[in-house]
Amino acid sequence: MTQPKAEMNRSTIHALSPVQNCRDRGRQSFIFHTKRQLGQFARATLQAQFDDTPSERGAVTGDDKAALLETHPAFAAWSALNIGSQQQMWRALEDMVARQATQMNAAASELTDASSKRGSLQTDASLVMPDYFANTAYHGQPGGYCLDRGEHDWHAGALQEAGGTLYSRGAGTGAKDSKGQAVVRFLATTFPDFVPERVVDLGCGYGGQTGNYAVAYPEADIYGVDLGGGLLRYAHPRAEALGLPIHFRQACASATGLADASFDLVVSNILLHEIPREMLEAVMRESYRLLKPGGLVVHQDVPTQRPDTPAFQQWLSNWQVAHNDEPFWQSFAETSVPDALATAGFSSPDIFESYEPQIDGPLVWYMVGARKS
Amino acid sequence: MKEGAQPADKPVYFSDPALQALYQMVLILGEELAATREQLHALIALCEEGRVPSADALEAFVPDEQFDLERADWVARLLEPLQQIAAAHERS
Repeated sequence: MTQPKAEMNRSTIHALSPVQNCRDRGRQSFIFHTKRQLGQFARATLQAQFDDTPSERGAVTGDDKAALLETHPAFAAWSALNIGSQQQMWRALEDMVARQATQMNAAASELTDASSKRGSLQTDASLVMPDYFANTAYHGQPGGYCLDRGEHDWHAGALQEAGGTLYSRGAGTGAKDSKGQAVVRFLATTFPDFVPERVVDLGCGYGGQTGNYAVAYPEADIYGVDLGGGLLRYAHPRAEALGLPIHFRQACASATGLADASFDLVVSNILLHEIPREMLEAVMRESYRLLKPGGLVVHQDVPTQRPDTPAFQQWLSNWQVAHNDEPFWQSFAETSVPDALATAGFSSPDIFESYEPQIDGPLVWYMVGARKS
Repeated sequence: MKEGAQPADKPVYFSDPALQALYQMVLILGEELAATREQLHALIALCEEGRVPSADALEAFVPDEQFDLERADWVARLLEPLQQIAAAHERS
């Protein structure tokens, strides 16, 4: 039995991790450095253009400045390179995974079929995918999170982990970063006596963050829920390979099928900005339903709502909406999650918000949640 | 059996859309060159060590940090014209 590692982060290697060969390393290094360079160019040159736009050119608001910046010839080149870089990232990762599909299949089957395994996987072939999920190739990921070619297909999960790692490293996030650890640290600081016995991670994807809850709360029963069967067929053997007993269930985060008042901790990591507003509201209702009295919900996400976000940073974030298959980014930015929590049944004094630094990176995360009274 | 979603069409900011495609071609060439540089670097390093550059030895070779600095440097040079575009616009 593999012993769980002390830390689960963006450098975690496991039995299903595709191995870079020499050419993969060259291709992915190129993509990494391209993304780094384009990010630096945006934060230096494009930001200077944005901030220094003289008011006599009619640019007073952030929107005015953005409109002017988007006529700048360097903006067109930068955009074309960013779009191209993201497309080539997925091609490079698809090639790496496809080359090792036989070995990864064998590893996944062995771990999934092991009699000694401690976690579980329940998929539901009859589950109807909501239109928003079926039609979104988040971040340009080929096939999106709903890619599912049958009962042994784990490609969506493999691509989500590999793509998330390369993309975030290119964006300046360190190899030791972990969104799940950021939530655990926030909970330990804010609710120091809180030790959950049952935890559910909504929209758990490939299970990268779910593993952090299993490490932080080793005595707890840990569940992960996601719509994507192709994500969970990777998440399950991945967790087993890492010695993490996690129960994965294929279901919508708004209708998990799990029992009322059966969890002490409900979490999500960067789920809310990837779902439409009505789904966000339904996830809040489901969070309330799942929690025991006294239990906590924490949703961690991008800090689009931070009131002091500089206008340029806001523009750069919005650029993602049009260019990186993030159709719900803007609706998330315009939604009050505390209001949605209150509407779902949580008492206003029990609702909290915070901005917390990344474990290993320059960004902050939005934490929003509540205690069920 | 679900083949999944397709990425949305991306905006084009050039009056001639072929320019956007040209940027993509440059990236693909850069990527291919990066892969070749990686293999060549491993090959030369193995030869310098007097080792047989077998396929297995090439795959097992791990470049040092200096090589990563060189990778970063040539990608920076490849993208340097972006700065020139910005500077020319500044002067106009």
